Amino acid sequence: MVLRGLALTLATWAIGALLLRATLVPAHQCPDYGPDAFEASAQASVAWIERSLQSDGRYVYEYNAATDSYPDDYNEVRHAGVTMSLYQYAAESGDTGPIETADIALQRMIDISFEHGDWLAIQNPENRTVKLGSTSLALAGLALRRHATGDDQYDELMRRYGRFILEMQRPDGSFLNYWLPNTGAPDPTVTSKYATGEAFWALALMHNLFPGEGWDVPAIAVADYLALHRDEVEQFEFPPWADQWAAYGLSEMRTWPISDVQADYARSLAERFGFLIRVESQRSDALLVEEIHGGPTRAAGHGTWVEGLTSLYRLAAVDDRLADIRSDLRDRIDCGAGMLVDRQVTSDAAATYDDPSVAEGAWFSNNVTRMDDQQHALSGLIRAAVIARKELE
Amino acid sequence: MTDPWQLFLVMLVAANPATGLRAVLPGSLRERVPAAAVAAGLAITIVVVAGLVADSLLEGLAIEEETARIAAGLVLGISGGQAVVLGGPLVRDTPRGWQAGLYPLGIPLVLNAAILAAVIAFSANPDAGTGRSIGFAAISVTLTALAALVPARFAGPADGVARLVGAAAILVATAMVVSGVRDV
Repeated sequence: MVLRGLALTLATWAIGALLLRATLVPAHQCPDYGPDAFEASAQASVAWIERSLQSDGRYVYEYNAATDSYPDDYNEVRHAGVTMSLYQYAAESGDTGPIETADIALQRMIDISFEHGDWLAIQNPENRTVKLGSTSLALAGLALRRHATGDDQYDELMRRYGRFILEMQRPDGSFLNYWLPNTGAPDPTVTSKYATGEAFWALALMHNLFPGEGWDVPAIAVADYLALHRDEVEQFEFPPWADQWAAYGLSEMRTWPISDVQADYARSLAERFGFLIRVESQRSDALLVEEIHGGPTRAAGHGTWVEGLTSLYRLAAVDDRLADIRSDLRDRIDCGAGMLVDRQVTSDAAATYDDPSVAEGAWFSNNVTRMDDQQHALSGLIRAAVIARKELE
Repeated sequence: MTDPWQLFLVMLVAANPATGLRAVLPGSLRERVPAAAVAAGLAITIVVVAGLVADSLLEGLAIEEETARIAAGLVLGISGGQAVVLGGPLVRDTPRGWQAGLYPLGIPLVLNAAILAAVIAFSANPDAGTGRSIGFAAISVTLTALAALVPARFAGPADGVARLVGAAAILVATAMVVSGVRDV
């Protein structure tokens, strides 16, 4: 009786453990790469963006490998984001090669900018909308360009873009998303979950470049809004919203320094990004795992987590309130960046596509790659490479 | 969930000593002591081994410590739910002598799946500490084994206690899952 009972109990436990393993606790698969692989992957992404630049200053927006087609669509915010990522690569790596391409894309943004009073903002040439996000990312890109080159020719342009951002800020630190040319004022009814963080980052960069000009006051106001109110105002079901732009902004503020409330917010963001990477690393096409955990996240999402983690790592590296999460942040960065390396289309794999030139260096999801897949993966990878290399040294 | 009192609470509700009160062992107290001793010895041995190999085990299975905590929370939640519904196992018709200390007293009563999962998950957590996790788990299983020595007339009242501890286990399990999700 004793042995039979014991055997039955242990068998039940074993079955339970196997079920748990097969469903809720599959293995974390974190490829083991170092800074060289991260950088090589980032370079392949840069090459994709450079090849995708067209004669009109726009990038290839999207490519569907299943139909070998290019949907007729474009997005000015993403244009600014992709351009920013090229400047970011240059600023982080010291390789200024991509600046030539980025400057062509920048010129297009300047050409379509809308002037009003003492500010300038990017206007969508098709629907005439003036949106906060594109100008914020253009300004962030210009700040990174200045870091990379030391060239001050766009300083006044940056200030004019910056003044538009201030025009869109509300007294509580939040931002409105559209400025309406027909009313000559911001649309008071529309906010954006993306644009607030983008504007925050741009303002924080501006203060670090031009410390005496007062850009820190609106930056701190939006940092507090993000830390205390945004998730509730925007009604996010599972706060905090994984906002890598907010993480970028907090990282820029690391020497100001940030307040306790902002440090708490930074920690909660780190927890969210870390969890997302852990879950992503458990995704596979194994039986039951894909059904329960879903398929791989597209690079435009996955890359933002690595961006967020790298920003928070830089913050934690100098802020002792976050010292306890430094090591975990490093682990998640390496894991997230490693998965990106693994999922990128290599030159060999690209040869199997109808158009290898638009496949190589890209990340596909359901046979589709969009320019911001390359943008966010590039940003995350180059920052992961710099952090990993610095640690090695 | 790595403060000492929190960790002890986890181990205590996972072991749920009130279930020991529900074990009706045959014979006099003198006859029941060997069974309880074997059960405690077996449970403590497994807890110690599990705690010591936790790091290697999770590494071998490619499971992050935070994920192990979530899994342990799920196991504890199921165990707590079972205690709430059934009031903890009422063990009867057990063999006389020390053999009962192997089954059913040792496994699964004193050493249940929830305490085993908890000791693995927390021993791998550097903030909780291997020694502390093993220590609290060992104390908790010992309490369960000692409870089995209490006369059978207390088995009835113990039912309510086991259910209450089961309810507490569900709350603790929820906190474990949340903390696992919220960790970096």
